[in-house]
Amino acid sequence: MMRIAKFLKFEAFFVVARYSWEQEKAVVYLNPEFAKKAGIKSDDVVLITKGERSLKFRAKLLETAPENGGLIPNSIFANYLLDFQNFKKFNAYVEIVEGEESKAEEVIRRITEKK
Amino acid sequence: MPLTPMEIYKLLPKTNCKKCGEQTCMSFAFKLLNREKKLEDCKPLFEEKKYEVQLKKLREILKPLEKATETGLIVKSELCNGCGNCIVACPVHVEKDPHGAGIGRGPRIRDPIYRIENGKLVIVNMHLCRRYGKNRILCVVCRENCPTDAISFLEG
Amino acid sequence: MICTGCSCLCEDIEIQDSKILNACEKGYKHISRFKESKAKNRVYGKEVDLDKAIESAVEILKSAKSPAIYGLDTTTVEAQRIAVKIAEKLNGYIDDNSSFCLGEFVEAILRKKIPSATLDEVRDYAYVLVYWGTNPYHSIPRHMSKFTYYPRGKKRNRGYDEDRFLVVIDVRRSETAKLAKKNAKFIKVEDDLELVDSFERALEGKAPKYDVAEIAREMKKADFNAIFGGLGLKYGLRGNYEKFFSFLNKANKFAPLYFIPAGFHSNMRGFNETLFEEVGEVNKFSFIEKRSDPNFSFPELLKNKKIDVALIVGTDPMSSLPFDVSEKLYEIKKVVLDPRETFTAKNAEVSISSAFSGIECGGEMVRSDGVRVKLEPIEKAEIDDVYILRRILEGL
Ligand code: SF4
Ligand code: SF4
Ligand code: SF4
Ligand code: SF4
Repeated sequence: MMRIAKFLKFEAFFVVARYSWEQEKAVVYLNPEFAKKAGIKSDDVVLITKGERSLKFRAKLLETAPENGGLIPNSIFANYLLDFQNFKKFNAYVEIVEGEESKAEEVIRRITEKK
Repeated sequence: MPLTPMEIYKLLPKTNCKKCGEQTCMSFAFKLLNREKKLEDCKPLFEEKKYEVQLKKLREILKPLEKATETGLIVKSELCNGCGNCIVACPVHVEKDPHGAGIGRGPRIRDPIYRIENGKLVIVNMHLCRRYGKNRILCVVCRENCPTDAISFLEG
Repeated sequence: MICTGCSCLCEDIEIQDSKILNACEKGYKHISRFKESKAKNRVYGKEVDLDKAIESAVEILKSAKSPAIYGLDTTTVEAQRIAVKIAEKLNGYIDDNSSFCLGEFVEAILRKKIPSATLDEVRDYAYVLVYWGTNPYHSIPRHMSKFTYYPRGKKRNRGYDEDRFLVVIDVRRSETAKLAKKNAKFIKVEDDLELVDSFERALEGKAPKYDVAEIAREMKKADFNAIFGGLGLKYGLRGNYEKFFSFLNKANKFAPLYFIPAGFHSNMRGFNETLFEEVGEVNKFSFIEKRSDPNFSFPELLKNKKIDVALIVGTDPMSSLPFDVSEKLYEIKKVVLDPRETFTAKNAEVSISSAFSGIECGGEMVRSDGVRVKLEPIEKAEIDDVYILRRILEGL
């Protein structure tokens, strides 16, 4: 079944912070209220787009995530989207997509291929 | 959701037949929750076929009891990162281990209630806990100070 | 043993029947996994022995026009000292992660611009505890249970709910914020500078914008209060450090208020102190120009194409720096010294396998509050950062 939210992009506020679990994977912890609004369920794969760069994350729900968005653990994935002006928090778009979350090797490839 | 004696009571035979050694089914429900009695002690439940469905349901709702310790305490390891708040906040540790857990260090007494093993909270000696035994009190200090709700109690 | 998982450097870790006791999960993973995914000695992708790897490292460093040394936050003070000598010898730059972490705060403490204290003093005496822009639960997990909020101290022996007043400042209701219940306050901050203003006004008895009057009153009641500042505070100040420092000093006219950086890599403060002793600056230093400058931070040097070679010690910039910086790593030659096979090590011109400080080799580190700690390793590796760096220095 197709969900309507599939076609919608939501603007969201993200915090980048240390998190005890799953730094090795591309996981975004969404505020449950926000996720509901955006039609995102736990374990959906979402595309987060900031400026020219985007990356796929596995979505999880977390009460302590900021209200209008989520928390991305401090990781290679967060850093791919970041710059020093927006080192701890930034706004980006989030939408549900097909497929799997991005892998670290893929990010490294993007770093190394852009000469 | 914490389990209540009422929920257990509703599924018992409610005949107050006293075969379990209790005066009423309600008091049996209480003891069941406190793990002072076992479900098997209610003979009619097992002997009479008409209780089959109820028995099945009872077994289901009592499942968490198996995981819980004698004080009704459950630790969800996957939510614990070993911060130690619960260990240091526990009033029993403060009293019995003033040079260890009481001042923030790893426990120094032989059998603390809790300690952190391989990064996770484990229960070493529940007998020291204030929720244990005849004069128990419903202490919730450790649960209250766990930032991820990794600690819960059966009776709420 | 001492855990080197973060700058708390917990000293009560025990190993019993192959179980690691007392370390938090972060520390447990750090200690228990030191044998996994070890780095290899490699030169241009080919595995070589240690001598060859060091030889190639020396060659690359010698031929550099403008080299930088970077990282050093998870190694020992002894290794940091040699690294400074190498940078001096090469006439290069030296920097660690503190330039985009809490370096400014450590610098202010070392220059005695702001009052600071030790965590042991906090445990014994502190009343109001402010966690500002940090969520210790995840970054420095035992900070609150070991040093600040929960432990009983000499003058604070009645327990956290009576003898401490907890303040948590964050943009979201974090795990730590959830603990701010009785005798406590959570402030959801949108503008950190405005919040600094509010604190100043409240202490002076004027009406503040943020609801901090109660906190100011509590501070005035006590003879010891502390702020633990994290990255949220740093980036929230948007460069206006002086405003924050002057607030700290003004506040001290009303009530003693100490600042302690909330925490970071195990020996980041050690790097700041070591460099400060040697050259009088805490980071982003150029030995050619003999000064520190924002433009000399490792990320800026990369972005502005100011360096051609980097000696990277114990850090993985390819995964820990923002993309617009990490992509530039490809334009320079990298010599990487790390016990672990990191992304940067895999992609380096020269990779040298080292030992985990505190686990496989000893030395000294500096806790987030400046207390020096002697490491108690459980193994004795012959080849560690000190050994390798010394040989590189000799080779030069
Ligand atoms: S044996 Fe069962 S039915 Fe009889 S009183 Fe006890 S609980 Fe009730
Ligand atoms: S319930 Fe109370 S006494 Fe028992 S472990 Fe928790 S804090 Fe300690
Ligand atoms: S407070 Fe919670 S997370 Fe911390 S050690 Fe105890 S159970 Fe684990
Ligand atoms: S708080 Fe830091 S130093 Fe202490 S055990 Fe955890 S990771 Fe190790």
